[in-house]
Amino acid sequence: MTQIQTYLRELRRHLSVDAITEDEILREVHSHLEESATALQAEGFNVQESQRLAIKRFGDVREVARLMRRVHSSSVNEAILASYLPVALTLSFKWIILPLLASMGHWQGNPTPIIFGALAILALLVPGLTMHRWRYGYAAWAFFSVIAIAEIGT
Amino acid sequence: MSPARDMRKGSTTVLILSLVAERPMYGYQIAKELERRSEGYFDFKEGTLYPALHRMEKEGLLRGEWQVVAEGPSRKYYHITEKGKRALVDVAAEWTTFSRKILAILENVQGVKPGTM
Repeated sequence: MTQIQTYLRELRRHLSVDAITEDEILREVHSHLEESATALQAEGFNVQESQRLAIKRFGDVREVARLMRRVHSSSVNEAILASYLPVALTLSFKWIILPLLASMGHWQGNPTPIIFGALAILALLVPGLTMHRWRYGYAAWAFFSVIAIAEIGT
Repeated sequence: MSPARDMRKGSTTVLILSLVAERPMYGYQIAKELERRSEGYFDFKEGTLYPALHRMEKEGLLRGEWQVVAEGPSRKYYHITEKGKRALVDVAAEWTTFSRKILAILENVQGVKPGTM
């Protein structure tokens, strides 16, 4: 394993961001270190020295990871919050709004499948339509979407 | 942190915006351009540049775009956005005023000799 690969492995270990962001950061850092090492080799350094120097110029792996975490942690939190929207909206319609309408005598019959189907689909789209860079919460969004869809049928 | 380092840290956004406003650049290129144009004055750790770039991308000042390179790993080029251009104009004006005012105050510092009353 080269020194650059070791550095990237350490960076991955300390990042603690979502998988897509982690992959992008590692690709970007890899590209930087490779180009930096290549430039140093052109200046006369051997492979080992050039990689060591490129890493030294890049900076302490923990510090880089800490700064990256600080930038990206809010996105993860925002996205996870946004992921709650599908289930929150679906449940609030099912448990609060529709019973309220029914109790007021404005609602007849059992509207569950069609109404919830339409509402759930709209709710599932909310994070995608409103959240900038909502990709941070793919996993959570998918999880809560499944719960919301499951609620439609009950 | 030394005053010089503190000032350099505070200027990261405007420096990056001004470089990327000229043409889209990727991280390594930005680091080298900053080093070259400042004649080594901005000798920061290159890895600290990326959190700044990512923060600016999240704020909508920059837009990142991956480009495949024939030889070697692909690169993420940063483009300035309309919001970034407006921010650059504002921040550059702020820095110009700031440095002018500081220079006006520091005008007589050359006459000061440490150790004398």
